[in-house]
Formats: sequence, C-alpha cells, structure tokens
Amino acid sequence: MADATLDTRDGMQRTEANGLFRGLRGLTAAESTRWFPWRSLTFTALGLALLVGNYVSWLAQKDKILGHLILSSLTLWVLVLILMTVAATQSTVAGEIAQGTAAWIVAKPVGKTAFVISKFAALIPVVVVAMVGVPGVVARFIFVAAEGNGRTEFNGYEVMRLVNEPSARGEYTTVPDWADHLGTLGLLMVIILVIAAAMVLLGCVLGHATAIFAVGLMIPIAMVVLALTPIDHQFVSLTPAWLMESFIDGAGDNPAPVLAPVVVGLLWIAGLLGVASWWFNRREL
Amino acid sequence: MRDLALEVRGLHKHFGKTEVLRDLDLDVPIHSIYGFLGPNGAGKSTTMKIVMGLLRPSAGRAYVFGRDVHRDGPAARALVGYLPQQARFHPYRTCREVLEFVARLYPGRVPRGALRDRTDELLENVGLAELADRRTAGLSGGEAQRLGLAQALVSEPELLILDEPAAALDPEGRRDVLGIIESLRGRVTIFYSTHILDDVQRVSDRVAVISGGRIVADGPVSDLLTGNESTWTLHTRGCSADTRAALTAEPWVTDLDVRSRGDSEIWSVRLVGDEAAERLLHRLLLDDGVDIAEFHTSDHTLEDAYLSIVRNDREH
Repeated sequence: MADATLDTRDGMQRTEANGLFRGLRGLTAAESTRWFPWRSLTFTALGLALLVGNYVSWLAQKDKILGHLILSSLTLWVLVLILMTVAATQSTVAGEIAQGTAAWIVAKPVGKTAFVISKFAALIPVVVVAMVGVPGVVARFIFVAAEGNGRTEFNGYEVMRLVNEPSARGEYTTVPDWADHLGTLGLLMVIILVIAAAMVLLGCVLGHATAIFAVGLMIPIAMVVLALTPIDHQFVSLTPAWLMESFIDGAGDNPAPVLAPVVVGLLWIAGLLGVASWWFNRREL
Repeated sequence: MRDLALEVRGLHKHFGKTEVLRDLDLDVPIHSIYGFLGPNGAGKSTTMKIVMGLLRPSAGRAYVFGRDVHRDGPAARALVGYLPQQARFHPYRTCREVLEFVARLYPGRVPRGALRDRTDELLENVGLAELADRRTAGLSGGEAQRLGLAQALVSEPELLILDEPAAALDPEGRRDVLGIIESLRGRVTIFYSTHILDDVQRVSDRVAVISGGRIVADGPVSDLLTGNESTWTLHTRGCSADTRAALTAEPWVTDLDVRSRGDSEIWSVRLVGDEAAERLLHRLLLDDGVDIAEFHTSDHTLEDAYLSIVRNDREH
C-alpha cells in the first residue's frame, strides 16, 4: 500500500507509511522485552538442567549405555520443549485480547497483521537461542563426554529400533557429528516454531486461554502420534508428522536431507500465520 | 474536508439485530475542543472505536484529516492519540515503560534522545511522577486513567480522542485533566465523550449530542445554551391539581417539576418560546388564583439543554 501524505494542522504535511506490516519492528522489539532476559534464561536453564540431570543419573548407572542417554535425553527434552512452547505462547494473543491490551495496541498506528506477526517474530530468537540453541549445543558435548564412558552406543538413528527391538542393543556407533547434530537442532527449531505459530493462530481464533492451552497441547500430541504411525510416506510428506519423523531421522544420523523438512516447516509457519492474520484482521476488538 | 480533523459520514453499526449507530454524521473542526454527549448506550464509545479501527462500520465512512480510517488505518491513526474508556496496559510494564512502548509505535514522532524527557514531562503533568517505576498492575483506576491520558499524548498527536477521560477520577484528577485539555487548546483537536456536563461547559467549543445512535444536536456550546427554552422557578401556594394538569397540557410547557416545601410548592417549569410563553405562564397561574410568592428565571445550563434535547428525542 502506498504511503500517505496527510494534511494536518497549520497546513503542515506529514508522510506516513501505510501497510499491513506497519509497526512490526517496534512491536517485535517491545514484545521481545517480555522474553529477554529472564524468561529466556529460564528456558535455557530448564533445558540444561534436564540434560545435565539426565547425564548425572546416567553416570550413576552400572551399565553406561550411550544409547540410553541419547534416547532419554532427547525424548524428555523434546517433550519439555513442546510443553514449554504451548504454555508460553498460549497467552501471547489470547491473553492480550482478554486483557484488553490488544485493542489498546491496534488503536496505535500499527497494522493488525503486524500485531500478529510480532508475537511470532519475538519468539524466533527465544526458540533459536534460548530454548533449542544453547541447550542443544551443550547436549552434544554431554554426549561426546558420555561416549568416553559408555559401553554400548546407539545413535539417534537407532532410536526407533531401540524402542521396537530391544535386542538391537549391542550395535556400536558413534555420536552424530556436528553437521548432523546441528541439522537435528534446526529441525527441532522448525517443529517448535510450527507449534508456536499454531498457538498464535489458536489465540486469534479462540477466546479463552485455557481452551487454547488444551487445544494447543493436542497439536504436538497429534504430531507425535502421526509420526509414530506407519502410514504411507507420500501421504504424510507435507504434514507436521513428517517433520517429527524427519527429526527422528536427523537425530539418527540419517543422510536424508534436512532442507526439505525445514522448507515444509517454514511453509507451514507461513500458512498458519497467514490464517491468523486474516482472522485477526476480521476480528472486532 | 481540509478544515476538519475528524469527519464521519453516514455511519451505521449494528451488532446482530441491535442497531447501535444510525446514519451518524459528525464534523470536528481542526483545533476545536469537541464534547460528545449522550446517555449510556447511545453509541459514543462505538463511534470512537470505529474511528480508531477497532470496530468495522456496517455502513458509512470516517476520515481523520481526510484519510479513511479503514482504508488507510495506520496512517490515519498516526495522527491520533486515543484514550479508551477503560485504559488497559501490560501489567508487567512500569508506567515509564508503557510510555516508551507507545512512543516506539510512532516512529519519528519522539526522537530517541528526547524520550526520557518527554515521558518525565508527561508523568509529571498527569501526576504520576512518583509512580514512574511502578508496574501498572499496582495502579488504581484513577491512576490508570491518568496514565491512559499520558500515553495518548506521548506522540504529540494532532487529534486527541478521549472516551470518558475523567470518569474514574477524583475531583483533583478531574481538574488536572481539564487543565491538560485547556493547555492544548489551539494546538490539538480534542474530541471527547463525557457525562460530566459541567466539564463540557467549561472547556468545550462545540458539542454534539448523540441519542439512539444518531446525532440529535450539534453546534457551538453557546448556541445550545441560548436555545429557545427557558426554565422558570416559582414558589406557589394554593395550587390545585387541575392547574398543574392544565399547565402540563400547554404546548409551550416542555417540563414541569413540583416539589413540596411545608404548605407551599416549588415549581420548575421549562418553557419553549420567548417572553410570550413567560406572559402566558404568569396569566394562567393568576387566572387560577394561584398565590405566587416568587417567580424568577433560572440560568439555562448545558445540563438543561442536554436533558431537553434527549427527552425531546425520546418522545419523538
């Protein structure tokens, strides 16, 4: 939309930018103050505490099987990440609407789309750095340290076999190298961001924070169930379930490309936010 | 259009089957202090919310300095400071942070280097200097209202839209708000709704009265005060019910209020017309043998004018 030149008092002219994204930078910066530093530090501390706690209890075990550490660490950490994401994002839009602050903000010179996108944009650094990045990188050092102590080793690729076929223990592999590890973290970030985008959409559509929390919790559960359900790969190739499956593959040093699920994830995020913005623009406050 | 800060044309709004605004027109001249009066549920807040883009009109248009508030919403709102009826803020922000947050949404309006001085000045003006670093969750209703006024002013707007700015305030707060409005006279256009008619009479240049979702009176305050109605107060004795009934039936009597005091009565009679009506009233009472101890006209206040307008609208 073109910029607008406005005639104001005393014949003065002022040029003001129009557009759906007007105010995005200011809103995102302001929204970020909600997350940094304390909430973000809390997320990081929770993730690290979980991984370190897992490592310490693993050290205390007689049979130091590296595969057990990787399995329990990743599973618990991903579950906690998903729970944290749902809990932290369920109030970002719904809470603002319920408090009346959404109406206060969109009465300023900002686009309603900018309001919705800013909620998500402020989360990106939180997810990338605080929730997944720092604990995820530290996790690799923990796994490498464990490798020196472990008797048997399973990488993430063997996770499904470990779950389904306990007899598979005994295969000796190494901890995934840095590239695979970072690829796995990238996928995990995308999955968490898809969930965050879904929570933003739910906040725009539903009116009650508790309902949003409940429905939001169903999304990751459904994703995990779908990921573990043996259905036609072609059918699920564009679903969030495929992202979960790709994550499991990535964690397992699978040579499958990381790029494709990341792109699909980003498309999902764009779609969810597009619907959220459309809905919020129609909504009266 | 160039002389108008706010222009509303043919505004309709209905919520389901309830029609809240009906063909509402408004012209708020630049630099005026414009009072927006009306009973509860008349449509004042709805009108303001439509202007601020919070509600979509069912029909009609609103323009801020010539910009359509729905097609060019953000650009139009860049010129406006708005105080909603119930000011709400993020509970985790302090008063100062709220003002800084709002200033950030108006890029270029408050230079970064001047932001601290601007917030200090505003907090001082609204009497919140000592609460600058208190979280808004701990503010009383009146303090939140003061902060609401400060955040509406932080961008140095051309048009200030205030929805009941003094509603939650104590007398001191009310005086402060009126002082701030007065201090902006001639520099900022102010469009505000209120129930406190005394305040309107003190500071407003123009007034619009909304009733049943449409404007029923609009013009300078002085025009409303010098309308063709007058109120007379009479202290009477020996008056019969027939006299009162006859008086009420007269077409030039718009209202009659009778209060007893001992063996006499105090009548407050509102008349339409000029001196002729006054003479007719006098003659009618004398013909009925009413003993009139006192007979004088009362000052016609905005409250009288407002009540008369609203009552007439309801009757028709």
